[in-house]
Amino acid sequence: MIEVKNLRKEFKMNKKYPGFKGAIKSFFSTEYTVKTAVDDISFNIQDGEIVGYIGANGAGKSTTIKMMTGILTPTVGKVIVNGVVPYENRQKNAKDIGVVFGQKTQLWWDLPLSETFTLLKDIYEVDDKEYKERMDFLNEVLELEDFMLSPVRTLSLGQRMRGDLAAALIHNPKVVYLDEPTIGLDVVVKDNVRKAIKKMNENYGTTFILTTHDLTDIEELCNRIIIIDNGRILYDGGLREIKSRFGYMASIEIQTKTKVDLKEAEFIKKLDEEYIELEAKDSKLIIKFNKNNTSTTEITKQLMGRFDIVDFSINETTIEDIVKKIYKNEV
Amino acid sequence: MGKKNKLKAYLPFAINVFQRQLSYKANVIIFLFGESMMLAVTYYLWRAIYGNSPDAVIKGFSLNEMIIYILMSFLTALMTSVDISYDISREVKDGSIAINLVRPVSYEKRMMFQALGNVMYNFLVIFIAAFIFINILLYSYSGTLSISNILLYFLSTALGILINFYYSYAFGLLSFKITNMWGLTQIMGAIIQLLSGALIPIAFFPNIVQKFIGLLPFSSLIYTPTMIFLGKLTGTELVQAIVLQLMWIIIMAAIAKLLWNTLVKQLTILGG
Amino acid sequence: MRKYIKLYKQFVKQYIKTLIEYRADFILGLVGFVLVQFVGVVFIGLIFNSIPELDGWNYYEVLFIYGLAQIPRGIDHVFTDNLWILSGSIIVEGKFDKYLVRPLNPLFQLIAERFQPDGFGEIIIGTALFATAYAKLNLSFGFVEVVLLISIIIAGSLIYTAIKLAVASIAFWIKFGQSYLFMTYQLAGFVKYPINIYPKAIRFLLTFIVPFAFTGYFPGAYFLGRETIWNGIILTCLISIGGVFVSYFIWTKGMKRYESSGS
Repeated sequence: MIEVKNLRKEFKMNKKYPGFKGAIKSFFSTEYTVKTAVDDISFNIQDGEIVGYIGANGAGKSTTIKMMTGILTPTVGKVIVNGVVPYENRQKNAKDIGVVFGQKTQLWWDLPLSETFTLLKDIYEVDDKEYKERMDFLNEVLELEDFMLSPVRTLSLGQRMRGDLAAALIHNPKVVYLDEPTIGLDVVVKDNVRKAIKKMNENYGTTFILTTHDLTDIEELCNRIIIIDNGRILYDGGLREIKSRFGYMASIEIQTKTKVDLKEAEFIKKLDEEYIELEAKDSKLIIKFNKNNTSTTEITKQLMGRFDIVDFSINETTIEDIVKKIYKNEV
Repeated sequence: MGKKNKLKAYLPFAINVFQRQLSYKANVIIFLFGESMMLAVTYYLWRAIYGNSPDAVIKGFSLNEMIIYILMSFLTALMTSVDISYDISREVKDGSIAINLVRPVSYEKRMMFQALGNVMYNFLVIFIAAFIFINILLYSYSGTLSISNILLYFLSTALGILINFYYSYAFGLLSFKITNMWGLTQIMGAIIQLLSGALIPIAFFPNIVQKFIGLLPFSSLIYTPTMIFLGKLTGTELVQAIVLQLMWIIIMAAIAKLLWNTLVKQLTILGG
Repeated sequence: MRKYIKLYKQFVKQYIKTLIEYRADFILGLVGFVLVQFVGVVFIGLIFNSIPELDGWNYYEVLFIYGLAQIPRGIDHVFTDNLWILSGSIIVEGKFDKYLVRPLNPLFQLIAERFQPDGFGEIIIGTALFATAYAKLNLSFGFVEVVLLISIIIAGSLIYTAIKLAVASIAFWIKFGQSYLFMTYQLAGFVKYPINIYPKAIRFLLTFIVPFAFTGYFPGAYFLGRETIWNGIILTCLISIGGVFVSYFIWTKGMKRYESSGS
């Protein structure tokens, strides 16, 4: 479906000089600096996958998406979507894709939403039967009816986002790119949006690629994530696998009847010479450890005999923690 | 608090506008370049007109006087056409004008100082240099310069600035009743262009039309100061023209006050 | 192509619906533009009170050219006003991307997005002046002249569009180009009057560099028997075709640049 091969994108930036004189100097100057936004990226995406594409701001996410949608031409490498090279055959590619840029609407500002869909029907040459079927479906999951007749400029952010998503799906595209589809939305609308994506994927086998900072999106939707940093892929794989690969950090928290003396717990460290951290707060003891070297059962077994335990909890690392660690280069 | 201190509180509004304008300087240069092209059109047109006229003086203007008129009326317009109605209509539209009712500042004064910021910017960046240039040009044409004309010009322009302020302020307040301010702005712009003397000296109109124009405030904005500069208004005519300017300040200020009171009533009843 | 025509009709239909909904605004805007144009006419009238003719052109001949020049200007204004947006903030704000992800020509999308009825003000005044001058000058156009007139009006509109597109496309390089477009548009002010009143340099500029002179003066002068058919009609049409190609080329270059820089 989508093939990305050794993709690389460099931007030339004119050297800027400060001030008015500087502006003139930059105008005539041919000096520039080269910034590599995407650096040798390769991956394949199969039909019907929902892939989360994540990374910190400026990591190269948007640049990759822009090359996949045909907005940007890569410096080196190749993208093939449905057998089409998007940036060489942009209009042909556009027929089979849907795009939503979370912060910028693609709807016509002055037209009522309903008219937007009439126009899109003609632009994508959707036949009447399919149009009706798709419209009913979108109406149902995205609850568009209430604001269908209002001009786009009067819509709230949540309404507009639902409209934008519906507009990207109306022609039953094979691939849909969503850039921050849930940014700034309230919980209910976020849920709506996710539901629509899931259903579209189940009913029509639509492939989705989404970038997001909201990792709940990822946990609820994606079966695969690609993490990018500094223009390079850090991780490409399943959601469960990432937890087993990066999620080895876990912690146990125990609540005891009396105040904890840290010295009494030191012996635990024998279980793993490499990494066990202890922390004590009044009657609470927190043990951080590496699941690859020791296990929860082993630690709890040891603790049971020594402490008078009232309460007890195990914290697995969340995807959020992992991503944070990855961004901070802690892995 | 003394009156002087009170006014001091409004000064930041003027400075703020002044600084903002200053940061757009590249755009201003290109804008001025575009405007000077319009001046060039007018200049060549008048040269052709005088070239084709059987008389060297048309409606009391020689070609040299006409050239001075074109330049000076343009420069005067720069001072007396500062538009604040746009700022006001925007605040009326988005409702932020209501906040001004609870602020310890007078809205009118605040707007006046914002206009002043624009006037100061135009004065320092464009006016001074252009004014000197025009005076040199005038000296080269006629061999003399009249200090009293120059001083009276400044007085008359200052009055014109005030008339324009109240007019623009009142016009901006209208936007709480009218939705398409843009269309109305176009219409008023065209009227002012024609009746203020910006396009052509009012002396070119038929007598009866001149009398009618004399009843309107627009000629006080550009025509009066420019004619004073050219020394074409003297004696009782001059006194009349300045009294007329003063009268228009009072009338416009009264209209503005009336509109403001209506607006405040509306805001307090309907809650914006 | 048929798809585009069909779509454009759709767009226009939508705009007309909004116009009817906001008809008071529309009429006010139209009156405004008619008035702005009318002021220019009053100016010419006042001048001709004092002089018999202007460098060989009488009052109605000047009005004839003035009116003829306003018609293509108005037509272009109605249809391609959105090019002003291109020269404005659209590229800086990243709003250009949306035109690249739809299966339509981006330029078509940009232009079809807006329909500016204010331009009818120019068309109305232009037509009225043209008709008045036509009657007063005792001109009588046969079938051939009408065909020529229609073709030069189309050609003149295309020249306006071409100049606007070429200058607006500068925004691909410098991001914010509205002041350049404004400046170029001011140049069109020169061709309201017969261009032989200007010095050679200005005439050269308006004929060969920014060919506004072909939107009114040259064809108008031809109809008044002052210019050859070559200068008045044929050259006007050739320049409009050439202009469209050149400006579209600049636009494509700009797009190429956008594709590689993304901003």
